[in-house]
Amino acid sequence: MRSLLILWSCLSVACLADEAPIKNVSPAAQSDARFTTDAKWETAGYNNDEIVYTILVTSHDARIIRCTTSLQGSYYENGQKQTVSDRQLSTVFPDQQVQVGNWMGMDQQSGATYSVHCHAI
Amino acid sequence: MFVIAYVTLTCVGVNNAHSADLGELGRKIFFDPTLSASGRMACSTCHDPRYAYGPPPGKGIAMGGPHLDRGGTRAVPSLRYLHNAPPFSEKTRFADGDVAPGGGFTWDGRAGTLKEQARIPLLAANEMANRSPADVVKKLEKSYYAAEFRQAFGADIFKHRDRAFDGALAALGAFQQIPKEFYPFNSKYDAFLRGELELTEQEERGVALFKDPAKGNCASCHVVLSKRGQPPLFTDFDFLNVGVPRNPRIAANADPKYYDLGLCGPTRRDFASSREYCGFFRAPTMRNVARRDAFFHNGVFNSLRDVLNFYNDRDLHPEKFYSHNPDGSVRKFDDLPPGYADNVDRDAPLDRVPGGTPALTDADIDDLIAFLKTLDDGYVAEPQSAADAAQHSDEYAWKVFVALNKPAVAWESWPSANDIFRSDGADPGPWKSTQQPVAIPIGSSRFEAFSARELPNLHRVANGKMVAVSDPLASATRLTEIHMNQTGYDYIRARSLYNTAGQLRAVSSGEAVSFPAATKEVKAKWRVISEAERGRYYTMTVKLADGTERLYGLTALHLVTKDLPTWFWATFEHVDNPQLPGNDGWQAPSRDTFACGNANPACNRAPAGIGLEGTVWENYRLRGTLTSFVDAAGRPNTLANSELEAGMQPTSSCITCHSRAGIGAVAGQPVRLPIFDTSTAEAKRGFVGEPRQEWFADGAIQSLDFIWSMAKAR
Repeated sequence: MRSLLILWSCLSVACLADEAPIKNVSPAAQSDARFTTDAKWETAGYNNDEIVYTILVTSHDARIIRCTTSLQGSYYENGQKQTVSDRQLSTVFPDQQVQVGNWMGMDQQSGATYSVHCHAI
Repeated sequence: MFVIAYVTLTCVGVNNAHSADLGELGRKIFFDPTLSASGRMACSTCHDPRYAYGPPPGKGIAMGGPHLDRGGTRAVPSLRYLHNAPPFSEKTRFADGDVAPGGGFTWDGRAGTLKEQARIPLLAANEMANRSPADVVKKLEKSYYAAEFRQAFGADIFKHRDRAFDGALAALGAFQQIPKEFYPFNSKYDAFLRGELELTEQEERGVALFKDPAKGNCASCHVVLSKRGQPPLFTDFDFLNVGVPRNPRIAANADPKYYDLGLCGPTRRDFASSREYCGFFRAPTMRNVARRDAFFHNGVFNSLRDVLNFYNDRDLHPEKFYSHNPDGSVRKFDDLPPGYADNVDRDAPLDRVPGGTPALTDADIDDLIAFLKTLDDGYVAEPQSAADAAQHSDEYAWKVFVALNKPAVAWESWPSANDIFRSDGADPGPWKSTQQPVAIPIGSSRFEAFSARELPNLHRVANGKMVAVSDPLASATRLTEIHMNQTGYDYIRARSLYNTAGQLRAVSSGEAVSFPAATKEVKAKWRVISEAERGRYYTMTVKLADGTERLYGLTALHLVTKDLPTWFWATFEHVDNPQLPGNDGWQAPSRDTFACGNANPACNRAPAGIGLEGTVWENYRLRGTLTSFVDAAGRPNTLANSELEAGMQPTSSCITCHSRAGIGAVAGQPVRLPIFDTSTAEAKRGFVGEPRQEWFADGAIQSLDFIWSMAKAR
């Protein structure tokens, strides 16, 4: 089980889930919004028998921010590896953390990538 | 008594064959699909021994003919308990003094003997579809048992087509007189009649309703009285017309002019002019009725509950059962031609008038179903033996397995953990076994919840896209359920352990929570399977919120009994599990000395001789048992099921993990030990070995007797 903590801020972050953890917080002056992200593979369901990929966004901004999260991952269908993508819009209130999405059915070993774009509203 | 009937009836028309040999020859004929025009349909295709020689699930109206594309016109009857059926007589005298049509074989009684009955499907165009008796004999001559046939009936028997065909029918009739196969009288109710056990309170209420002339009134036809020293057959072979609705799933019913009127035709012809008999069909035995999913002569209903609702509401809410006329009015008795309504039975509970009250309450119906389930053959009392559990653990595990799964899956009717530990913490009420519907709604309390609250904005892959999940449980590829038997259930109720307040009271009372020895708990896991896999699994069909149905196969089963102070633990898996996608494989070999012997306990076989052969249960394996925390050398005992302990097999010990089930209070709030070991970086790690003192230090947490499902209490 791998868990990836990625801290970032500014207009966007783009992350590869297999990368080593990266920590960074950009100065507010250079960004439209201050936030950090956290993405992880988790087991869920009764007896933890489903694999779920979770992306969290934590606002460190005094304003309400609006985030667009793009995800790309893989899954197997009839033994064939396929790609799948998704995009979610989320509103994050000041100093709050939200799960912008939980995705199940993806292949954990293949990894997943995501990017988060946020701006103050 | 049975032996006399056996010999007498089977010797009819046979010269040389000994009756027992003839029965065994009949068995081969019965199971031989090459005797059909299609080459794929044996007598056993429809009369499946796994279902009391009745139809398998979903096959109540069978497809036959040379290409298996011609639909049947009636529901396949069970062939059990016909051994003493009297020949048909229009003037049968019944126990109540009535003189009326009765007896015979098939739904309309047109066959006078088992031999005559056997002739019908062999030659019916929509069944085995042989063109003539000679056609059957040609196939018999090529069969693998042709030599036995000659031995039984003479070396030149195949030169005499009529005699040979008659011999085949006699053999089939003889087979159907084998007591063990066709009238075993080994249901729970038979055990009750023999004084071996007591019925539950619910079953007793069900018997009373069954007999009560003002309530169920079932016994007026499905008689419960023993006759000539023989246990009751639950039919007096009488004929009646209860106004069964038309079944649109029968192809012949597409013709609005077609009516199957039973005794008066069109299949039976000798009473075609007896208008008063139209719509009359013979009352079947109620034995094994709970194992059917096609009821009445036309199979229009698919569950016992539907049948009982029909009896209860036929005259109060006919719109629930019958089709409608073009003007929107209900076409009551729509499987009878106009003008035949007077033939329909009006005895209780079919004696209601619109606006009245039904004869049975919903609770009555539950009770009746509970009783009817006691009529299933093959009842095995739940084993209970501390000595066997401790000393012959693997054999005992299989005994429990058989008792809980055959002939019917008993644990499915037990309350689930969600039924016991209600979300409002209320008393779950008196014990009630439940009959599962043909298609189980995904929202059923059977299944452990996959919490949407914990996973907001949940999406899943569907047809190459990520789609929002409105029903997380339906999206889960696996389903888990936990059930407890009545002994455990009653104990929980008696001590109010169904909510946290009750549990805290119990552990603070100074009296240890300790379940009675007869307590059993089951945990089962299911996976979505394909239709092609159906024959290998015990299956269930789940109905999703969108109305679609999904097939699940049972992959894993924990059986836990309180035979020992630290319980008896056994786990079973489907043999295909290691090959399933996402399965970690069996990371420790199986230990089954009962099936395999001591030399190679991982032989990966089901045991022989305990009735699993020819059933889906032969595809399940005992992975092992646990009766102690550590072995003789002090090493931790482990036991894992690759589906139920996925991701933590090496650190899995049922007995140690469950020893942590307990409850305490901090600042008035209930607290419990975590299920998994969170002290390491591993995603899932269990506990093994002897329970550690610090788990229960200072009495902060007190034991709830190994039952983790108690943690579900609110």
